[in-house]
Amino acid sequence: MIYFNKSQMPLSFNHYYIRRIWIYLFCAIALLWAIGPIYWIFVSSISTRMELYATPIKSWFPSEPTWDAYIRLFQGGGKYRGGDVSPTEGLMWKSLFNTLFVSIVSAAFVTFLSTNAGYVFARMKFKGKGVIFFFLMLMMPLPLWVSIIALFFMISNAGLIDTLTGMILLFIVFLLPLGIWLMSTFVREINPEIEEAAIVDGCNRWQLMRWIIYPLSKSGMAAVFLVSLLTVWNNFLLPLIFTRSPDSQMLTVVLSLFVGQYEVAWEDMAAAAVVTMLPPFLIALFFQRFLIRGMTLGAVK
Amino acid sequence: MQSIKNALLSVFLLALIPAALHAEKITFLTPSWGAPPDKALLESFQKESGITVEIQSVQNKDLFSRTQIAAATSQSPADVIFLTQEAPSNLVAIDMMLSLNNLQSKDPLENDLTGQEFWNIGGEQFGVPVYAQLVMMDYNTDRLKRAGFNTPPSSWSELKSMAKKLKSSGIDKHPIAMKSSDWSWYLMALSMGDPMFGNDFKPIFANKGSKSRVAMKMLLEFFSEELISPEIVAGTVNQHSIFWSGTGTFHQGWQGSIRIGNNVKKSKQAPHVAYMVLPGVGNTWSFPAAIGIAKYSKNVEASWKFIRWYTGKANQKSIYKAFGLYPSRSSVAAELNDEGLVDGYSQILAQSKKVNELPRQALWWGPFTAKVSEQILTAVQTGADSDKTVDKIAAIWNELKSEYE
Amino acid sequence: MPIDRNRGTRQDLVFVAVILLPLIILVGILIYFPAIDSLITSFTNENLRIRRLPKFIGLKNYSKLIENSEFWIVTARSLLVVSLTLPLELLISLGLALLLTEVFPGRAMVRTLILLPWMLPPIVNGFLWGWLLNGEYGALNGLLYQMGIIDEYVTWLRNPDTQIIWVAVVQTWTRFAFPTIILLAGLQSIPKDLLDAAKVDGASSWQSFKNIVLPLLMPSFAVALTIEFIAAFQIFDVIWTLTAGGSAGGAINPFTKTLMLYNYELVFRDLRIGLGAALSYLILFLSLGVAIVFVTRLYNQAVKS
Repeated sequence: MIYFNKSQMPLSFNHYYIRRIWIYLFCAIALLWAIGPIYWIFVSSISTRMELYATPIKSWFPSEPTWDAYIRLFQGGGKYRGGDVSPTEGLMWKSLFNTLFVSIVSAAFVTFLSTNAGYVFARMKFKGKGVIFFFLMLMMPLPLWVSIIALFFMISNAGLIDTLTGMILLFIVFLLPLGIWLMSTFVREINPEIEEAAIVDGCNRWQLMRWIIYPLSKSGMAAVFLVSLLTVWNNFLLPLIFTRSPDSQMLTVVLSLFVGQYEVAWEDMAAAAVVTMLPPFLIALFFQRFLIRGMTLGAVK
Repeated sequence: MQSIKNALLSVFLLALIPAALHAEKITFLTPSWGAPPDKALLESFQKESGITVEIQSVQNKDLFSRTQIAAATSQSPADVIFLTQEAPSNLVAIDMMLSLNNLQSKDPLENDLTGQEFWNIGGEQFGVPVYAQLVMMDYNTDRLKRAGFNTPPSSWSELKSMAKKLKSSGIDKHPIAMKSSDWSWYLMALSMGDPMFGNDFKPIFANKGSKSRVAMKMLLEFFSEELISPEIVAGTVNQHSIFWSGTGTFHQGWQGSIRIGNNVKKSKQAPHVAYMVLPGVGNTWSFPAAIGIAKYSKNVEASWKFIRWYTGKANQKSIYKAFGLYPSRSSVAAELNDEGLVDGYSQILAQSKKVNELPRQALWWGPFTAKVSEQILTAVQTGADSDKTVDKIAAIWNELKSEYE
Repeated sequence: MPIDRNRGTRQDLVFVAVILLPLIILVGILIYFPAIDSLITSFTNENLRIRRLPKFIGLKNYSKLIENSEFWIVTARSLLVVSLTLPLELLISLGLALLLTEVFPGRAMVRTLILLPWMLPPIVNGFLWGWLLNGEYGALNGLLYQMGIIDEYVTWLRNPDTQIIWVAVVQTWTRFAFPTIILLAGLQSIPKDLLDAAKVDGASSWQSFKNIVLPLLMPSFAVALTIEFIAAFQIFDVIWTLTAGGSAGGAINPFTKTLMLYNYELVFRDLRIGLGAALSYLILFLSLGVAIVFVTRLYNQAVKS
C-alpha cells in the first residue's frame, strides 16, 4: 500500500526515487536509534574486558574478537580459574526452553481468549456488559507486587510453585485485560455488514468467529500475540518469586546471575543477552507479515 | 511357589527401603558466589550421603525478596539459605531462620571456625560461618612512587595530601576510588578510631567532635575537590570497576581484591596493586557470610549434613580458589598460605588484628544503612554541611530504633 | 427477520457466557482476591520485621503517606518522567508506524529490527546504558570524541536533572516498539476505499491524514497512550538499574525516586507492608484516574468524527 501517492502509478520516475530516498533515510535514522546500542551489546559480547575499558579511543570492532563468552555460557562443567566461574553453568539451555515454552503458550492462550472476548464486547449486547468490561479492566494498572503475597500463598497451596503450568496460568491472567482491550478495539474496526450477511445466511456465532472474525483480525491478533510474548519474555518479578529450580527457571532470572559480588560480568551478560534476543526476533520476523493488510475489507461476499 | 514369590518380593522391597531413606533432596538458596564451585566435590558428597542438593542461584537482593515473600506466608523458600551480612536484619529478623542450637549440641562446631559469634543472635546460633571478608584498602604502588611516596599513608590527612599531589601532578585525575555511600563513611570513621556505636546500640558517632564527624567532613571534601571521580556519583560505575578501568590510586576493596586488581585480563592497574593497612588507628569491619537452615524446612538433618560438608576443609579451599573468598577456618587459611595462594597474607594478618564490628544484628540495620547511603549521596549532590548530615543520620537511627522496640 | 428470536438470544447468551465466565472467574480469583487481601493489609500496620500481630488502624497509613511531603515530591517526579517520555515515545512510534506502512524492499526486516530494544531484558538494558553513558570509558563518549564533537569525556549522569532526562530517553528507547506495533495494527484496519475516495476528491496527503487516518486511528492511539502512560508513570526497571546503584545495600537514589521505587522501598526494603500496600493503592487510583480520563476523552473524540 502506498499511502500518500495520489495515484497508483508514480507521477514521474524522479518522484518515485525521491520518495524512496526519503524512506530509506528515515529508516536509516530509525535503525541507528534502535540498533546502535544493540550493536554495542554484540561488540561487548565478543570483546575482552580490557578492550571495553579502553579510553579515549574505542574500537568499533574488537581487535581480538573472542567467542569465549558464548562458550562459557553454554558449557556445562566450567573451568574454575580464580574468579572465572560461569554463573549460568547448566542453566542457559533449560531456561531458554522454559521461557520459550511459557511465553508462546501464554501468548497463544491470551490471543485466543482475547479475540473471543473482544468480539463479545465489540459486537454483542447483553445486560451488564459495561460492568463486566470494567471489572476486567479495572485492575490493569495495579502494581504487580501488591498481589504478590496472597498470590504466592494461593499458588503454593495449589502446588503450582516451580511449575511451568503455574507460570503460564499467572501470565495468562495478567495479560488478559490488555489483550481483551486491544482485541475489542480491533474487532470493532471490522465492517459489520460482513457479519450481518453471514448471520442472515444462517451462521451461528461460533462459525462466525471461525470463518470471518479470525481471518479478518489477523493483524490485531498478531499484535496481541507479539505484545504478550514479549511481556512474558521480559518479566522478572513473577519468575523470581514463583520459580525455584532449573525445572522452571526463566531467562530473566538467569541473566541476573551475572551480577557478581563486586563486578558485573558484562561480556558474559552481553552474550546471554544476544542469545536471549534471538528467539523473539525470529518469532517477530515470522509474525510481522500479519501486520500487513491482506483482506479487501470493502468487498461483501 | 506363592510363598517363594512373596519371600523374594519382600526381600526386594526391604532392599529398596534403605535406598528410599537415603534419596533425600534438599534445596540451597544462594547468590551465585555461594554455589559450591567444585562439581566433582559436590558429586562425591551427594554420593556418599545420599542427599541430592539442588542449587537455586539468585541475586542477593532477590534472595531477600523471595525469602521475605515466603516468610509472609509462613513458608520457606528453600531448606538451606546462604546468609550475607545483611541477613540478620533481613532474614533472621523476620523469623525465617532455624536456631541451630539443638543440632550444635549433638555435633558441636570446631574452634577453628572463626566468626561464630556474629551469627549468634540472642543466644541462638543462626548460621555457620563460611567466609570472612574484611573491608580493606589497596593501592597502586607504582603511581604512588611516581608521585614521590614510597610508603602508604599512615593517616587520613596524609592520604588526602598524597591524593592532591597525585591529582596536581597529573598522574591520576581522580586518585581515590571510593563510593558515595555508607561504606566509605564507616571505613573512614572506624579507621580514624571512632567505634561509632556503643553499648545498647547507642549512636556515639553523633557525639560532638567525634571522629565520625571529621570523617564525614573529609569524605564530602573528597567529592567536592574531585579527588573522587564524579562518575561514581552518577552511579553507573562502582569504586571497583572504576579502579580496575585505570582511574584511581587508592581503592576501597576487600580481603581478596588484589587478586582481581593484579589480574591482567581484568584490571589496568595490574601488577602494581598491594594492600595497605588502613591509615590512622586503622580499624575496619568485616562482612562475614554464613549458611543456615530455613525455619520451615522439612529436611533439617540432611541440611545440617550439607552445612557441615559445605564448611569443611575441601569446599572452603575450593571456594577460595574459585572466588577468592577468605575461608572462615583458620586452619584452611594457614594451609592456603603455605601453598602460597594467599596474596598479601602479611597485610591481611595485620589488618585482621584491627577490627571494630558494626551492629548488623540490629533489626533495623538494613533500612538504616540504606538511608545512610542516601544521606551521603544527597550531601554530595547538594553540597550539604557534613555536621548536619551526621545529625540527620543520628535522627534516622533513633527513629528506626524506637519504631522497632 | 423471520428467525426464532428467542433461540437467537438464548444461543447468544450461551455464547457470551461460555466465553466470558471462565475469564471472570480467573480474574476474580487470581487478581481480585489478592488485591482485596492487599487492600485489607493497607488498613493495618503490618511490618514483617516486627513480630507482632498486625493491628487494624483504618486509614492511618493513607493519611501518613499523604501528609508526608515525600509522597508529593515523588509523584511530581513521576509526572515529570511521564511528561518527558510520552510525547517523545508517541511521536516516534506514530512516525515509525506510518513509515512502515509504506511498501519497500526490506520492510519486513526493518520492522522486526526496530523491535529489538523491546526484546532486551530490563536488567541488561540498565547495564547497557550504564556502560554506554559512563564518563570513564563509555561508548557514547568514545563515539562523540572520535567524531570530534567533544574533546573530553562527559559525565552524562552527573546531575539529578540530567539523570531524569536520560531516564526518559532510555525508557523511550526501551518501549517505543510497543505503541508502534499497536499503531501499525490500527493503521491496517483503516479501509482503503475511504482513502481512495479522498484521493479522487482531490485531498492532499496531509488532509487525508488529518481527516481520515487520525480519527480512525484514535481507538488504537488511546490504547497505546494509556498503556505507555501507565508504563512511564509506574516506571521502575530503568531507574533502578540506571541510577539507583542497585547494590546490596538497597540504597535508592533520592533524586530519581519515583512512585514505584518509593513503593519498593516501603515493601521490600523497609518491610512495612501495611504502608506499602496503602501506597500501591494510591498509585492505582492515580493511574486509573488518568487512564479513564484519557480513554473517555479520546473515545468520545473518535465517536464524534
